[in-house]
Amino acid sequence: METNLRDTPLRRFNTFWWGLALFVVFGIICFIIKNFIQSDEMYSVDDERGKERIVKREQVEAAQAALLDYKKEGNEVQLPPSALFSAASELKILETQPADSGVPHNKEFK
Amino acid sequence: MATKIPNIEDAQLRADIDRSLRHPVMFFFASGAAWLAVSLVLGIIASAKTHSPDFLSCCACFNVGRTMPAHMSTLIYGWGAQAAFGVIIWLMSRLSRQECKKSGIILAAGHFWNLMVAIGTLCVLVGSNNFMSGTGIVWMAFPKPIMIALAATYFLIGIWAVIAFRVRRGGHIYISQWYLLAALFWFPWIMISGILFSQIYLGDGHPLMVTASTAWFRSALMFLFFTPVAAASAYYIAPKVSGRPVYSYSLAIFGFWALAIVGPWAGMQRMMGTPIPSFMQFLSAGAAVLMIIPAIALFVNIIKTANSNKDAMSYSPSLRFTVAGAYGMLTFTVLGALISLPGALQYTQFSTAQYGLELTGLLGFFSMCMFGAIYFIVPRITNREWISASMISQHFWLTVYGVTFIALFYTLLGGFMHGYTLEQVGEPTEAAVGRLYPYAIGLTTGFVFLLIATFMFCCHLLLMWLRLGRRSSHPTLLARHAHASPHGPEGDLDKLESLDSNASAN
Repeated sequence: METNLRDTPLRRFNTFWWGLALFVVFGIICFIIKNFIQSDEMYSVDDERGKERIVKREQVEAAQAALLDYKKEGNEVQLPPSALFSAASELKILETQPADSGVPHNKEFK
Repeated sequence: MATKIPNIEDAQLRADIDRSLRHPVMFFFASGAAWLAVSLVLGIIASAKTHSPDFLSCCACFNVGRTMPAHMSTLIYGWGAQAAFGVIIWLMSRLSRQECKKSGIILAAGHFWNLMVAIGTLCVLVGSNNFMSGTGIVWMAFPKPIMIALAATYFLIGIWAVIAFRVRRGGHIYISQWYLLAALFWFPWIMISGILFSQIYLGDGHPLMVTASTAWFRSALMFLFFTPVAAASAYYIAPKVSGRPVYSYSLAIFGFWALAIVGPWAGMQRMMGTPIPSFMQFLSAGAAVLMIIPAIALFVNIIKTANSNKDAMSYSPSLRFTVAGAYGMLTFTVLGALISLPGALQYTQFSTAQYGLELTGLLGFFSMCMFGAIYFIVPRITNREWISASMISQHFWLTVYGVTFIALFYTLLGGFMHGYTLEQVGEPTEAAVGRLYPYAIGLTTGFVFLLIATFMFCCHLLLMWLRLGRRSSHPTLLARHAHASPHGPEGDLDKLESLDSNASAN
């Protein structure tokens, strides 16, 4: 049988240590990814979703407030509810009693 | 006459290789088979609990929460890994034409591996609450120190196969060597990544990421370790037994690279709908579907090669198991693709289909190929032939029945029915458990078939290890010939030896 030129003690020795190095390299790569590439900062899903909800709520509230703001179109004037309450108290609108009726729970109902 | 001398030298070299690996390889095969039996017993207990909750309720260690991880861990690290190690070191030495010079170290490492698996299994079953308690992580249920010890022990087993490859005789690299070498390098990558990310870095307080990295680990171990080892075995056995070359070598190389490119991406489809990046979930689902490509390449090559000699397929136990393994590979990948489709995942993601798929891969594909390899290797390293053809035949058919129950009945039907009931908003959870009842009985039945087959296989293997097999130059074949015993004439080696001694005396 012909001699095998590949089979030398040095080649076996080298392969062993290269194999061991490669084995350890997988661990080292994972260590580097964990400690140097991946951030340790943790994000809570609830908190992140909560932030989105708060932004959305502020947008909705701003849009609603804009709808109720002072507006003048021709002869019609729209006042914000707060302004309407003070004007109504001045005009004594809020003191007006409801009309008599036969509806149950009405003051006049017997 | 001059052409016969290299053949005689080659036969002598093969015999020397077999002799050098006799003890470690037999140790891995025998202890692996014993762990397979243990795993199946634990699987029967876990499965029986699904349809008969009072079964073995006397002892806490038989709870499903303990028997199920112990069953899977013994199946993977007890049987799967050890059968793979035995095949890797023998096949690599044979194909590299190199004797093993460190069989003592491999044997010692094999003992240590078994000790670690035994301690790990006990830790999972006892359920203590300290650093040696089971982790509860699927496929990595053993305590952290045990998993680290297993990874370190692997180095002492695998490195000698790499050295045998580096100092090989001849220039040609066989396709089986490609697969074996890839499995040898992929295993530490998967193990170290799995242990570091699932158990060490993320073990405390990151349940979502633990589940995600474990999903990748399970898929990678199946596709990048068990699959290449089984493929290497199939690519060796099919041409060797049929006496024909591999049907298409370029297809085999294509299948290898398809596996190497697609395999690592699968796994995350199990996390569909969870808050991890969506591209990972859909990319993995795509990879799981694309795994059909390397499976078809392997299937076509093995079936075409085996079909070129139909007689060999009918009488050779090794080839019969290997061909069944090729069918198992196709079934496994098609089932995997089917239940990983985004439309199907709503039914299969939380159902028993995932567990059934893992069993189909491990038992129907990997184990079948390993049985084929063991029936081929053991007579060569013990210098004895298998004792009983009928025991091999029964082992084959019982395994086929068991795997069919698990793959078709439990995984496909049971998985979808279970998932469908879980999806019904108006149905209570008990309805899903009730729907699973017949399929759970089917799983137990499948396990019982497999346990009987494994018990016969273990006894047969043990007798062979004790060198109580037949002393004959005729292999044990499955087909019965009318004109002669299927085993060939008994004691023919003794006759030859006596003739030889008489001739030398004269």
